[in-house]
Amino acid sequence: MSKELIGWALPALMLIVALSSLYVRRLFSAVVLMGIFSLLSVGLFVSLEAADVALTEAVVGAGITLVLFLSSLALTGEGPPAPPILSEGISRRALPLCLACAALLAYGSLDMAGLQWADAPAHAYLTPLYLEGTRERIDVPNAVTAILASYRGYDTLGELAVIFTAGVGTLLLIGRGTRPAGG
Amino acid sequence: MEHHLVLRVVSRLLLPLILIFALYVQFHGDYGPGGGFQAGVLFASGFILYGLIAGTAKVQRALPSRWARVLMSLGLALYLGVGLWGLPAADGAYLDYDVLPGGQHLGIMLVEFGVGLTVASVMILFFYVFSRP
Repeated sequence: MSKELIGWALPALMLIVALSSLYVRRLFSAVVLMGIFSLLSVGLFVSLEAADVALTEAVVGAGITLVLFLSSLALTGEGPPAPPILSEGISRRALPLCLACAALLAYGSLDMAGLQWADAPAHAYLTPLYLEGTRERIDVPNAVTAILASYRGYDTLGELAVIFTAGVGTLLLIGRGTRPAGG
Repeated sequence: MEHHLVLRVVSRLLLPLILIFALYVQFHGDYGPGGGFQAGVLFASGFILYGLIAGTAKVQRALPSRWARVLMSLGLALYLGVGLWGLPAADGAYLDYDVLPGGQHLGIMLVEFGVGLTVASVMILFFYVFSRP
């Protein structure tokens, strides 16, 4: 019962926080609301018993992203309070387009496998293969680590290369020398 | 930040715990939730906290930007190197840990360490670059 309540309350809160981040005037408040959004999704992942994903979301989404956003705010300056994105009124031409996209997405979600649906295609052969293979061939208790580092070793290598490239790119763009005074 | 005495004292108390917890998440990732990505960001957050309370100049004395760049490359090189290890064996393949002396366990641990090294260095470098006065 309480789990069902969390399953409804957390997404509802996330929706409220996401919408309110569009209505606030200050960028700082929007950044903080984004951190709250990440924290709420951490709760959602924990309630789904995805501890690894929850830990990642907590340190990356609610932690480092927030610090980087705040640092870039400090670097670029807050500026005058901008009008909130939704204050100008919704364009008459954009509204039907958005509604059509939303309807299409909702229609697509009807075919998605439910959260506890044991007959989902992913659980038909891949999940047992990974879970049994982890016990027999890899002998590491945490199946998520085994999939990440061994079964999907190429994917993780690619992800690491992406992070490395992002670091090199940032250094090349704004990381060289010191900024001239007043610039 | 000079006058925030409580913040400075509490942060200094928390710092070693954050770094130890990052190492725990790194090397306990085979048994519990965690791994290189999370541990790397946690380790970097310790440096960022120190940078916030003591200033960027002091944290750059602890880990100079040049070293962070070297470590960032070393992490990716470690991952790529572990992959190469499996190639010379007769039935080996790239990123095949079965031919390593420690088997899958050693392979996963080395690869995750490479991930942690690169992620931590890149996040620290991001902070250095963004917080430059």
